[in-house]
Amino acid sequence: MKIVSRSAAVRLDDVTKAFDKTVAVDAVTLDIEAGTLVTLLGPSGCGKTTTLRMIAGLETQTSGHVLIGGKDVTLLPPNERDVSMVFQSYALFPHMSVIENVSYGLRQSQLSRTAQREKAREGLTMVGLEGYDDRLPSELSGGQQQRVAVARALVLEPQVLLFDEPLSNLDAKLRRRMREEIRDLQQTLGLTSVYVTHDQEEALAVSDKIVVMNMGRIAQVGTPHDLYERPADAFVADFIGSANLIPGSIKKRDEKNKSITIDLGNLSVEVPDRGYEGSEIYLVVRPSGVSLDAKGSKAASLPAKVEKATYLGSHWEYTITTANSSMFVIQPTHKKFKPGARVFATLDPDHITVVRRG
Amino acid sequence: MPELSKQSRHILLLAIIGLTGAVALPWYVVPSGFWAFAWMGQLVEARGAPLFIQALLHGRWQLLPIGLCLLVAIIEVFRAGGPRGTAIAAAGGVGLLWMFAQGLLIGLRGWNASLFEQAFGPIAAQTGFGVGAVICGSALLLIFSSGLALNGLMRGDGFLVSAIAVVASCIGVFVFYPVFLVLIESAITPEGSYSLAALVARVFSADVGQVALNSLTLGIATGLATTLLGLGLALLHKRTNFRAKGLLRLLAILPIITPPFVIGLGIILLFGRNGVATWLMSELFGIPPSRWIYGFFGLLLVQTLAFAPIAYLVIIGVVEGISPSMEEASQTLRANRWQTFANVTWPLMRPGLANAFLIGFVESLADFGNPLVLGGNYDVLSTDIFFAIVGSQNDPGRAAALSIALLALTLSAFYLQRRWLGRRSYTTIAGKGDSGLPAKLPDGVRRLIYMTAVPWLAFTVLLYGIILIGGFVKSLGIDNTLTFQHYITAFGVEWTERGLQWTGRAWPSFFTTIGVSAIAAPFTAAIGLLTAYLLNRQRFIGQSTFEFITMLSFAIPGTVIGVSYILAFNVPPIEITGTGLILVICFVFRNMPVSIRAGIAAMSQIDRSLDECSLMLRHGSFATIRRVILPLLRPAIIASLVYAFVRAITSVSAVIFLVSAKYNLATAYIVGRVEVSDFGVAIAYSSVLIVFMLMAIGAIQLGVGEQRRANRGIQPMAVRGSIA
Repeated sequence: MKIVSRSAAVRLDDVTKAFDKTVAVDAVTLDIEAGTLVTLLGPSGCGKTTTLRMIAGLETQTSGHVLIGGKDVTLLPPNERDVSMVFQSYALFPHMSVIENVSYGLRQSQLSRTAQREKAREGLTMVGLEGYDDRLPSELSGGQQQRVAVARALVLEPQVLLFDEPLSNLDAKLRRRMREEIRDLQQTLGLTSVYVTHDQEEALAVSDKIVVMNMGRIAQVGTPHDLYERPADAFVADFIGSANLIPGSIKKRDEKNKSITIDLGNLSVEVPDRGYEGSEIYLVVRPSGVSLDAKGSKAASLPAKVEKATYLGSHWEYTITTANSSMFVIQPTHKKFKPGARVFATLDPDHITVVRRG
Repeated sequence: MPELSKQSRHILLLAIIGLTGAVALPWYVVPSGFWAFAWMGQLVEARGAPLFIQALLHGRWQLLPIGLCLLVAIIEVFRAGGPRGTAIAAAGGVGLLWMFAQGLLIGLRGWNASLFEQAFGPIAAQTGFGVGAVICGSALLLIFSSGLALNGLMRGDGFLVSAIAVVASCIGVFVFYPVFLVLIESAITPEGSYSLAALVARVFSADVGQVALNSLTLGIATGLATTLLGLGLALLHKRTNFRAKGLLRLLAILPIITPPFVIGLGIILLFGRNGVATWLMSELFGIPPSRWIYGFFGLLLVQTLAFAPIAYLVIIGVVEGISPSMEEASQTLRANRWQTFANVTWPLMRPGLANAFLIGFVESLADFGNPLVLGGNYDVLSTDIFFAIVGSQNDPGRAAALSIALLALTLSAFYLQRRWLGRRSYTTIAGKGDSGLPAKLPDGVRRLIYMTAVPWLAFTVLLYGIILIGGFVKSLGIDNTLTFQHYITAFGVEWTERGLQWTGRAWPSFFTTIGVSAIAAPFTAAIGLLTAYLLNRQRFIGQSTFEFITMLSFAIPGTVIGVSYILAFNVPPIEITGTGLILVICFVFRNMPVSIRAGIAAMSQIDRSLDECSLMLRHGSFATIRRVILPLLRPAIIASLVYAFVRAITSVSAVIFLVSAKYNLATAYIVGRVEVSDFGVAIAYSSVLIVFMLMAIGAIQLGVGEQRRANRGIQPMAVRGSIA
């Protein structure tokens, strides 16, 4: 009884969900390729869970269509869509043993009783829980419960596997391990997966593609690299890895070298031109994209003052203020400054991007 | 033949079942009873014939469209391209409407309205729906639901649509249709026509007004008294070192298992003209025996005794709901005990107390048994309704007017409770453990509680003692010789050559009571939990109305239900008075609200993601209920069954109108004994009932012993909704 994958692509076509008067998901169109893991990422209330639940069929969309494997499933109830889901709370049935939980979905299939058991065992083996058949969910640790929930979803060999913040109830260490295991399983089986999280680090770690959502709309879709290095707007820049947004304006465009020069008041920075419109922009400076020095040597350095200094073992975190902005900066341990110290901040042009302002 | 989809097969099956009913089973009620199977030989005669034979041989052409609607549904199932939802729903809906319309229009004497007689000429009379009609009607209702589901209602989940339709039509037919008829009845003018003026004149007549005022006064007084006592008892339990807390717990069960008039009986034994206390007082202090106990003060005393435990159960929930950390916070903010009580504890309890007051008020208004035995000349609505129906007056119009007045009062209380208290819950304890210690009561308050609650407890114990002893003496207060005579009269058993003979006079009503209650209990639990599931787990159009209507049935007093059932079910199309069925139906719909509350309380504890998960794992809503919800609800199911059973045994107000010589019930029998002053048998019988129910509850509690915590959570909830 091998567990195989029958992955299919998912398409959301202009899907809207309104609760009374508030619009939770606003005209979202999205294509998810078969065999990829796509993360829906965003702050709470951005509509990511609602979007997931509409793919599952647990929420009925107000308008638009959901297609799975090219078939329109808009009107199908959850039990007739070929998807399964790992819930945030795991939703293990407390009155059933582990094996009963895992074979629950198979009971509606044509398989014989023994075949169901065999397949459920196979699922448990995949998540590393052989021999736990007769335990009750209450007798398992959080991580084990999580694995049972994953096994239960896997054994149905769904066209799409959905994860609703699956790791939010685990502690930090276990979270890291589980997300690697989920990613391994997904890649080994080539499953189409949609994964909801509000943790950007988790999203960067597991995804083939990330969909950043904000206020019911898609802010940007892209690979982890795209999003980090070429955020579409200030929201994405700020949400994916923390960023310092420094307002500025484009002073000069160099058509030949494909670069622009940005005026920050008392400093000009030259960055590669990626075709920004308008002249009012934010400079996106990653906390690690700044180096602090006691003496200003180069021209491209800003005089600043250290406001706060926090020692975190592996590195220092500083909050510094420059003439017109405040920045959050990470420095290696040997760069030690006291609060109040005068420093010079040098911006690394390779770690700087620009997004539209306003 | 085309391959049929699952839904089509379902509709086909329903239509075939319906047609079987229409072809093979008697359409009308058969006089000898269905289970006698005498109708099998009369299938072509006018009384026992099924639908099609009635229509073709006996000139009852009006039945034909019902059968045709079933045929239309079958034809639609085989339509190329599959059945259309609208067509199926129309077939079911039209058939059902037609069935009820013809049933209401054509009665025992042909046309019920002369208008139709003039238009269509005379028509054959018809009696109430029989088994065939019930099967046809059910099939049509389910076909109607399937049609709606086919059109995508409830995401096409046929089970859910059917469940909503079944619950809604049951409540419609067995709660609202009868109550509506009460309104109609009071609008009949002496000439036999209907007018709103007649209704207004009746309801606002001076005579009805006086009785309503009596009920209102008594209700307010009882509400106040029970709330204060209940508060005292609750504080005694939760905030003092009172030792006999087990006694308090017993006290909390007593009102549930005690038939409502038993307290009144005990009071008569104590304070009646021949009562023990009356005799003592005349011996010791020379106070002449009088009938002071029969009237307002007697009623107030009895109702306070009877309903204070209910207030106690409600308020104990309120007191438990006050987080001790609130009081601790107050104390750390430099408040002393008295200031903490006055400024924190008391204001937090206030909404709960108002709720307890309204419950006491409604209980008092709805109470029937006590005014019947103790009312004297103090007329109240509930008993006046009874006398207007069964007495020499036999004036249904007056009974209906009194019912409307009573309904108006209870509905107002219900409205206040929902509108005004609904949003003012100050429950401050969250799901998480709260380790604080509740504040000590101020000394004055504590002393007051001890001085009132403890004597009251002692009095209650004395009263139940008297009731238990009273059955073993010849005539308590007059002739105190020990005797088993009352028990022998009521529950005598003889061993004869023909085997065991149940010679006691109480046996028939006792067995009927147990039987009817035992049949009603599972239905009550089933429909109550199904309704709870729909309210708690599903979202659908019109849900708030649905919820309001089901909750409204809480507020209809038993007496009104009794009267309305007589008005509604004594004539076709639903003609079931005098049968055991009407008792079962009455119990089911009287006790359903309690079951709904227990179900909602229990279901709120079950994480909704379990349902969703089951749905994701390929299970439909019915399979989800069966495999996930029901197993997790087991404690609530058992609690519902017990309550439905016990409350059916103790209820009197509604069923006293509905009992018959063949189907008499224990409570009605006891009331009859009291009316002829045969107190000995009445007391003996009451004691047997109380002990029987204590044993039943005890056995079940033992069976689900480990669920005590859950049950304690459910009990106050369940009782809160109860209106005797």
